[in-house]
Amino acid sequence: MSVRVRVLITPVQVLGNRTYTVPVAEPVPLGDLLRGLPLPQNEEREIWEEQHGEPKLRTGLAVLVNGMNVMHSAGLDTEVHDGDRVSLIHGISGG
Amino acid sequence: MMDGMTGRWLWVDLSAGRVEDKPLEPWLIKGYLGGRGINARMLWDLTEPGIDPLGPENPLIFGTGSLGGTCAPNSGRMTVTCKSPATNLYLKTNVGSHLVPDLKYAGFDGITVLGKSDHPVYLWIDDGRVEIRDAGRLWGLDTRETDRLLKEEIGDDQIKTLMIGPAGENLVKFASVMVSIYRAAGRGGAGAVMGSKNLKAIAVRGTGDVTIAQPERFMEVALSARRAIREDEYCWTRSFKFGTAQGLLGANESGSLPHNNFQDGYTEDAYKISGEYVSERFAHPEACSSCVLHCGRFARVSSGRYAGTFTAGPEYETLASLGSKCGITDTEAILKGNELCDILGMDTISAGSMVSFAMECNQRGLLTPEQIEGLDLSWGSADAMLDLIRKMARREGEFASLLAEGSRIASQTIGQGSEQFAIQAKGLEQSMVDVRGTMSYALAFALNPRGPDHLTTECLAEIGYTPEVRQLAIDVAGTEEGVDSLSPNGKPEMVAWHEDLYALTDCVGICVFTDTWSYTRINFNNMAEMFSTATGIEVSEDEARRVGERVMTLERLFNLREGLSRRELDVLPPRMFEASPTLANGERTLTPEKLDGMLEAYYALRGWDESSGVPTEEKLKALELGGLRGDDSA
Repeated sequence: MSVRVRVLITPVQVLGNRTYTVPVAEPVPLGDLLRGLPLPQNEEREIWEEQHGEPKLRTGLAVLVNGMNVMHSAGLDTEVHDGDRVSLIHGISGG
Repeated sequence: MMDGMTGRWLWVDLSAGRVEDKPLEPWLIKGYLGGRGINARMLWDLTEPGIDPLGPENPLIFGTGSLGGTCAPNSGRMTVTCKSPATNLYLKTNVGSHLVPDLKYAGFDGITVLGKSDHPVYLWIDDGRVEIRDAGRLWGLDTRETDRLLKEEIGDDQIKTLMIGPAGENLVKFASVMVSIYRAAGRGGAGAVMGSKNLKAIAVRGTGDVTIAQPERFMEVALSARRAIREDEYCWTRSFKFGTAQGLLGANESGSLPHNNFQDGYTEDAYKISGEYVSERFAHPEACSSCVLHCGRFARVSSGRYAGTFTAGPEYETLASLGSKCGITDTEAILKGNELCDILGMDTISAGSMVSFAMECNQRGLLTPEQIEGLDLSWGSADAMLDLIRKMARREGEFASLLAEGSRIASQTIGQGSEQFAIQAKGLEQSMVDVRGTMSYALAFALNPRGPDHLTTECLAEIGYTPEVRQLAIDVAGTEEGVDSLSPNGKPEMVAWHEDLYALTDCVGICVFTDTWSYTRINFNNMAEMFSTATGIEVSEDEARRVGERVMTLERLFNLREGLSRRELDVLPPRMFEASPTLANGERTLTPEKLDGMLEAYYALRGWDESSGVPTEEKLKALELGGLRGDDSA
């Protein structure tokens, strides 16, 4: 019973390619899952910023659950289930 | 000489061995604003439907943007236009580098090459003096050697060059025109058109200048735009650090990075082909002239099997096309493949697509060992990728020569159902975005006059990566569903807005990546103002957007004039209508009916006939294109 979380947002030369396996006994809100990750302090700062005393995801980040961006729907209230894949990424651009 | 632009155009008739310096007509400048627009109108006026793209009657047009050679941000782009040998349809392909300022400082906004020389030649433009010179000793050489010998012959290593490699000489359908060796006008086979004319290269030295009509006002607008891009932390930081491959890992996580010829969209060790990995280990940034972003890379391999490899890039497209799409994550082999494509003069997107197409043919048992001459075409075989690149460029052997014709002809020849997984439409291989996850991309790719890729319109706003961009997308789409990437609603509005913006950007010669990596920093308003203050020709924001629409419409008319209907023009590769195992939990996201619905809404929005997709006469009159009709009623 676990969720795989990949954090792909921080300068790779400092932190590398980060993947966490988080045990979940029952469905949990995405925000709780992310806030519970054992991130190094500097990586925390890359992900969260304080707005009105509350931690908010930084501008330009997207969270995917099983490949789908949930930031325009339920956002951090999205329920995450056993076996789900969660990815924290920068907005996508290419060329 | 006029301000901003030179107002002069170089006409080269290779059949007659004649060059002429002619003024640009004011209506052409005001109505099309430079670069892609002027090229499009010239191509329309110079051609009849049905011409052979590789015949002398196909003009090859090089047009600088009207802001080229100034300090307008990211204004080092040039558009190359002709009829495409890959699609037999309209082709514009755009390239950055440091050549644009030199061409303008030499006194020309652009060059139109007509006819065909009876022997290999190159063009030497030394300020206002132009010569057609013998290129016998350059023919057969790769682009690097060609550049070296040109500089040696002219005795100046500061000249700017563009050229074709062996692929262009051998009329490979996806041969590129290489500019300054390392930048490619890659798509659609303009390099083959150049080869068909026996034109090996163009060398330029420009020591003049470009004058500005209202220098103080121009500097204010241009510098303000430069600062705004630079201060856009998201845009500048990521493009500078990681180049165009900045989003590769995100694409992979969302199931959109093509893997094994788009059979799925996820590569397990994609990190090894990411912008982050490549920038950390192999590459440093480089930039085109006047660029604020510096998304380009130079990469070097210093040890191992591919030691000594030195290449521009790799761009996102190359890492995906030569990499994940072929099941390859050997970074150093991909860099080698990139180097080979550049020196042989081939588009990396199409070259990689041909390799992955061959690999899927092999997976499905459609090829005999004799046919593929002992090649190991297993997924992930870097040797096969490199071998096929070398062979396609020189058309060595029957199989590689067939692949050099592009995936439409190759799949029709191989048959056995391979047309279903040839990832092409209209004859052009699709670029490395899985449009099944993003409906505005799907619509834009289907409509793109040159075929399915992201360089006529890239609707990144659909992803809504910042609150500001999200709001822009909702405003443009007119609905919250603008940022729901699987909803068809609001997507025609999104595509039309982006198409007009990109077309205008290509006319003034700014890099289109600036449009969508730094949304609103470059916009209809400040491009109109930069054009007006540079040239002294007043163009309002509304007029500027109308020019964008005029250019898009004219490109559509060119294709309609070739006798094709919407059912042949507005299409996607068949695989895009299948479910992807890694997108939307494996559910089918795009159907022909869904695409049809978006297309018909788009036609109506554009003022085109809703069922045929042909612009109405009223619309053409409104765009000052009255009398130009693309269909049979002309």
